[in-house]
Amino acid sequence: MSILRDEIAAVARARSEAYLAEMAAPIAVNVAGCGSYSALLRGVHEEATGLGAVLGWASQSGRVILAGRGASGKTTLLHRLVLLAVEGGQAPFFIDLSQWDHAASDSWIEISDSPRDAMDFLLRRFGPSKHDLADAEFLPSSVGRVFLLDGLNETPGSTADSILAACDRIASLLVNCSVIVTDRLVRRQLDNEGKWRFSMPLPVEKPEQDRLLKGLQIPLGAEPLLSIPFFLDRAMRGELRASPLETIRELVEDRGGVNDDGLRVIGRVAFNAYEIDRSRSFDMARFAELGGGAAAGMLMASGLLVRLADDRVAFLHHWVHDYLAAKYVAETPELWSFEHRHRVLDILTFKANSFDAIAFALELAPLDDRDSFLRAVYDWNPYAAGYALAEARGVGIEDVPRHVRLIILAMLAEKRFDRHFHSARRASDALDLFSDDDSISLRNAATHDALIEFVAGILPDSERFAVWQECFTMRKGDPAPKKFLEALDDADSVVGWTAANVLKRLSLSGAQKKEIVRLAMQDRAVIRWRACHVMGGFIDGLFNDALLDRLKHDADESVRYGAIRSLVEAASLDEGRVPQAADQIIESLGCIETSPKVLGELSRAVFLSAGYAPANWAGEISRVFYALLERTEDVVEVERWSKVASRLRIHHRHDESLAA
Amino acid sequence: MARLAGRVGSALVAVITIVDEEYDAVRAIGGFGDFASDTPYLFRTKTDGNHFDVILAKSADRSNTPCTELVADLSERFRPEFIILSGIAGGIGDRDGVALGDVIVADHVEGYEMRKLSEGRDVTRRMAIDHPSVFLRETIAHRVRHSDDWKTRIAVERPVEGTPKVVIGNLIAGEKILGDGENAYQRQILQEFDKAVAVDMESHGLARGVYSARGIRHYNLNYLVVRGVSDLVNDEGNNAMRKRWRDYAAATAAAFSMSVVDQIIACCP
Repeated sequence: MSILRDEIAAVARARSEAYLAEMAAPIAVNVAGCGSYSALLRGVHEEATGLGAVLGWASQSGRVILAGRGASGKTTLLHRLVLLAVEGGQAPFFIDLSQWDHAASDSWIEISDSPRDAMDFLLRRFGPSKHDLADAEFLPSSVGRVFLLDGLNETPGSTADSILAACDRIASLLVNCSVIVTDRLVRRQLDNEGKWRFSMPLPVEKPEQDRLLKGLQIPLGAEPLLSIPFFLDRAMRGELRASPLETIRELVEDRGGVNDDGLRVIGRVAFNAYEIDRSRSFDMARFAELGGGAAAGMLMASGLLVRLADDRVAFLHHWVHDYLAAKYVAETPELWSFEHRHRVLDILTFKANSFDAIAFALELAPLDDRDSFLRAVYDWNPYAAGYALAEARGVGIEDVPRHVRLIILAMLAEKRFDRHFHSARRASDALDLFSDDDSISLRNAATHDALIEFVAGILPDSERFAVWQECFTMRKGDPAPKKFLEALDDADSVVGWTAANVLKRLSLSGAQKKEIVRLAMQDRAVIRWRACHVMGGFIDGLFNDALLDRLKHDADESVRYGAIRSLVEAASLDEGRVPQAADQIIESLGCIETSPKVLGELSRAVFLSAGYAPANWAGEISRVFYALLERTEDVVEVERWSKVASRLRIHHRHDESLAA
Repeated sequence: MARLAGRVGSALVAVITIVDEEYDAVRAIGGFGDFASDTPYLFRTKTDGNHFDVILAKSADRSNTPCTELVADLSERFRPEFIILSGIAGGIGDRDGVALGDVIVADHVEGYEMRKLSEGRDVTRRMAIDHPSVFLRETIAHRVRHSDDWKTRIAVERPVEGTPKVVIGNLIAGEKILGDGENAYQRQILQEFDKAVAVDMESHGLARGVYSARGIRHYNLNYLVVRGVSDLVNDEGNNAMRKRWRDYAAATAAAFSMSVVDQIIACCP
């Protein structure tokens, strides 16, 4: 065994033992493998097994994602894996991504293209010691190197994808190397899903709960929480309350000893930390800026605020931070007004990467505001609305009106039939998180017609639902009523987007088409976006010209994003038009390239769901990516576009073979 | 000497093919049996543990990037010492006597797609790659080339009378099939790379993949590109020519490649 390995192991062991010593008592948590990413997200798993199996999976496949809901014990399991790896003679490298911040995001842009630089950066910046990637390479080939990355969901969404890409490459490159990454139940964009092993922590079993609690009094209604390690740990300390939110609320308000005014300031500080530092760790100056010095002192004294290096601080648990930031947002409705919601919800979720704070905000919003908060979330990100409903443990089915849930879930269910493969899959993933009867019925609708049939059969319990239902259940090819076009302009996001989705499948008169083109030039960006969305459902020269015009000239990025999606979608409706559409997109690349969001969407939108691709699709659309390849002299970009073209052909070849 | 092992085991040689004809041609004469463990790759002989003498792989798609990825996957699973790419290519007919059905062994690989167009100038850009192994070419392939035995393994009838020869020379690779002698872009490429004797779409990806795989302390991967000439890119009727010669060209490449493989196994037990 090498001296270097022993040094690395000693540092890792010390760090993990220190972390585990903070637990009230060790809690036995089993894990289970899952057959695929989809199975993991649905919670479908193989037989329960001990933690040691994870190291075996890592050795076999090189890449393991250990994903679960918040507080399910992932970090603790990862620290235990460190100790197991040390015992097994391996060299573990623990990387704590919870310390990710704004500066890390800036640095990441510079180095993420090189897997070596990327992993080296992660080790130096978030590892427990000065050991770097060169140390990992200097180890004898017989020594297993295990990189354990905790908290992928603490990084911005696109960063999370590129961290996984770097892990994938490092696992391939280095001899005797594996990576284990903890994450939330969110599907990441993996280069090759088949290379990864998926696993999940299982709930704490009842005998283990009983053994640890030894007859301790548990608050009424809190028993279901005992299967979750974070709450079982709280219960052993006598700090468990009837709900997750109550437990955290009491932790902050009672143990922290902060009054309402102080809480308001701390909430703002927590939000500002997400906005300015883009991190769970932040500059202590945030408190002073808002006159919260005294509150900070109390939090520090109670142990809820932890001092880190360089005068930075972090809350005891990321849920405390999420709770405080969510409370601030929930109590400030103007933050989720139309003008602010996109920016604010991006901040609160690290750009749609971590939805706990959204779920907390939903729980913390006054009952009367929950509907409008959910609609705001839906407008920002329809999948997030689904996640928020599923994840808000304190929000029962009865706490949100059934019609509100149904509307959101039905709109997600309709997206399962989207022509764009990635949109359809995200919708399925979001819907898979629910297990109530309505969700199961919506999920089980095998065709779009069956879905419409199910929704049409629901007895409306409110005028609002009846109006929405009438719109949603219009049949393909029905003439579009005038009021639906008017609804595109509705301030209510659910009404506006339902109209946009439904109009795509209806029949439009010439005058109505002109009206939609007019709406695509309207002052409000969201209306232009919805109009572009509608146009994707039609083979129409007028629409095609309008979409190209918006793609090239609209000042708003979301409208351009909607325009490229619709251009791709409309092209997929007619095999004869595919070559011309590819040429038009190629001619527009100069405009498309100015926005990473629009360019990224182009490379996703071209992947169509099974059965939707014309025979010439992959061949013709590949030309777009070869044109992008020819426009760059950057090696990484060349490989990126070559890969997209190739992936597109493989994706649709698989589609063709399935059809055959 | 103990071989470096990958996740599945170790392999002395991996043969890479791209399209079905190339894969079938190697398989027809290679004596391959089952899949190596749970991988999609065939093997010929397995000895103690999971040591394979030679495995056969097929790229997921044409073009360079899938080939780079295939090298990464093979390296991770088997850490082969040698990779041989066996397949077809377009020959450049007026250079070094290249003719249909000949076998090209690349001594230098270059990508031609990366260009910088600026201020009226068109300049080629380059990315770091490895070039074909001198050891494989000058020792192993050299020995195979100087015996006609490899020709007896060509399992497909030649479309016209004649005998294939082995040409050693530069190979260029891009993302598009070149096959139109009148095309200005193709003429420009062939003029710029005036020493190239053949064109394909994957060798540059292979070279890039080997460069990347070799970037660690413990691993010294070597590769060779063997291409049967299925068409002459600067001749008329290129597509028809390729259809007629494709199977034979794949068979000549396979015959030469598998002879190289057998020679490696004989030399490096």
